[in-house]
Amino acid sequence: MKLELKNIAFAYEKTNEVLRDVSLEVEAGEVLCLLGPNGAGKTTLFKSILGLLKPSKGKVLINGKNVCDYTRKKLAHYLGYVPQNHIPPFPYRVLDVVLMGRTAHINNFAVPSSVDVEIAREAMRRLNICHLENRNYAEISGGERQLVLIARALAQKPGILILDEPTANLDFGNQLRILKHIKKLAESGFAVVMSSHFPEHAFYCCSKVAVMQKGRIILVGKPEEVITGRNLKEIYGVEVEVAEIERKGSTYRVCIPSVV
Amino acid sequence: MRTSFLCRITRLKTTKLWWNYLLLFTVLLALTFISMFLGRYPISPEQIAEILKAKLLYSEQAVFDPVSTVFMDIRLPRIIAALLIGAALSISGAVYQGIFKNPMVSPDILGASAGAGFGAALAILFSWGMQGIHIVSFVCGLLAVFITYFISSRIKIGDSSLVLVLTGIFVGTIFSSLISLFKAVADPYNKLPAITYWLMGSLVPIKWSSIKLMILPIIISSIVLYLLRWHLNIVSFGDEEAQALGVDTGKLRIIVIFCATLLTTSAVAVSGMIGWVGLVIPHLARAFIGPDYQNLLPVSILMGGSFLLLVDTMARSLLPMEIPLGILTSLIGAPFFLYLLTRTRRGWG
Repeated sequence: MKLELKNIAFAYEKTNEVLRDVSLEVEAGEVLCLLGPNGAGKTTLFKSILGLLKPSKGKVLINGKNVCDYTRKKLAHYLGYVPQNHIPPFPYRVLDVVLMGRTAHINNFAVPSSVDVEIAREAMRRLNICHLENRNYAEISGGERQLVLIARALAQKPGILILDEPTANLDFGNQLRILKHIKKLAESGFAVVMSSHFPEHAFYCCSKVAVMQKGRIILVGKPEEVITGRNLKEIYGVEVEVAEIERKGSTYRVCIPSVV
Repeated sequence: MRTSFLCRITRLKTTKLWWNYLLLFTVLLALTFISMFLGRYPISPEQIAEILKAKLLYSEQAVFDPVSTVFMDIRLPRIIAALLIGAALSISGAVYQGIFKNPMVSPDILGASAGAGFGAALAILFSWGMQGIHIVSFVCGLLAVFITYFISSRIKIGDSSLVLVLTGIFVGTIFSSLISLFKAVADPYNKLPAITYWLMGSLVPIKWSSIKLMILPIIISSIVLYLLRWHLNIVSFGDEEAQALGVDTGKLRIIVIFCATLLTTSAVAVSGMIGWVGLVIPHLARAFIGPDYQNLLPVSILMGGSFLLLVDTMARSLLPMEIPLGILTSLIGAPFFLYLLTRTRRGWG
């Protein structure tokens, strides 16, 4: 499975382009992390990938075919979207929420069958959240909700996962757990695109980093090439030192900010 | 081992589900049965048995018994109308709440009731008769929602469902003002009370012809909405998520709004304004069976029908005079809704 973005531009109003000449490529097994300050155009880019916004120039290709040529239902077979977790207005059961991932695979007038339930349970097993099955989705913790949304995307059986700030609003432990799951999913063959506000997260699980600024991709490459003190200063406007640490024979990179 | 255990839990739940349906259905049947005897003219069970026997066995002969007339031409259509209207308002409320992702939405949010009221006032003003009132009110109710939809589709700012709701409020206000205008110019001895009573809502003038008018739109819309039950769950998570999950939300929204509007308008055109049913019953149903539309729709039908039948029976038998139904549903509905709010946990459960 391959996701390609070719020279995408998008403008809500004609004079003001939110995306300009964005080109990217993600293949199965890769995790692409999208970094960039607030308002850089990350969300707009995600919406274009998902076919929710039609780019004014350029195209988004999945396996060589333009996403705008897929029906919504067909597109959902290829692209799984994990939004930022929010509480829906009604108290659905966790299993029901995961089952919603099966929508693209069932008849328009039908409800999920026992086969779909088994697929949903399998997705939950993969993320170790089987015990949440009968809980109220509105009442579980933010980290658990994020995992449920990932399980929903897995139940959709896509080849590409799009995660919008999967670690936002999570505590330290849950952030690391989510990143670990993302790494495992890529290893099992998914192509993953995620956005984050933490450059360090890219070191933990990503094979590629793209930096956005004012609607353009200004840097693409391996995490250790892109995330450097100089680049971070340019992107975020703060002084950060990226240090290498040797532990048990491996090299780790950490960001040391000069807060004071 | 673990899977089989989980399967057993699910099976238990299904059994419990059927008990829940059985309970609701029994309540509905019991209420229907009891309401047959109650009213201005109490009718005994023996009399009803005789009337039914006469109707079934000697249908050729006209029965000129006043008790039979009261039962067959007044009470029976009224009971059926209460069941239909209660069910229609409840489903459309449940559905509107889902597509607008807001549990506070009621079925007249897009201006259907105000439009229907305008149509009825117009028909009363020009003395177009009962049938005329029903038809004009039905058409105007649909027209109001159509106007709302058309105008909101031309507004490009912000969240589209919020724009739709806001437009509905404006359109509703315009039609309400026109109703007031009609009241101001209406003959105060004859037309004005008629308009006022219609707006209070009542099932008194119901005849078999009124039921013929509304039964088809109600049944067809309910079936269509029931077929879309799973997709209704998905859209309550928001348009973008629903689209990413593979739902064509644009098409779905038009179909769902059309059916829900047809339900509301068919009901309101016949009964006048009956408030709170479409807001309270979906809440009660959700608390009873959960938010999944698979069960929420049938439970809303059963609960809504029972509720309106109960209230209408009270309306005709509590006081020596008939209490307008709309007043009674509000008097019971509003405090009950407040009670539900005090008990609601996170996520409107």
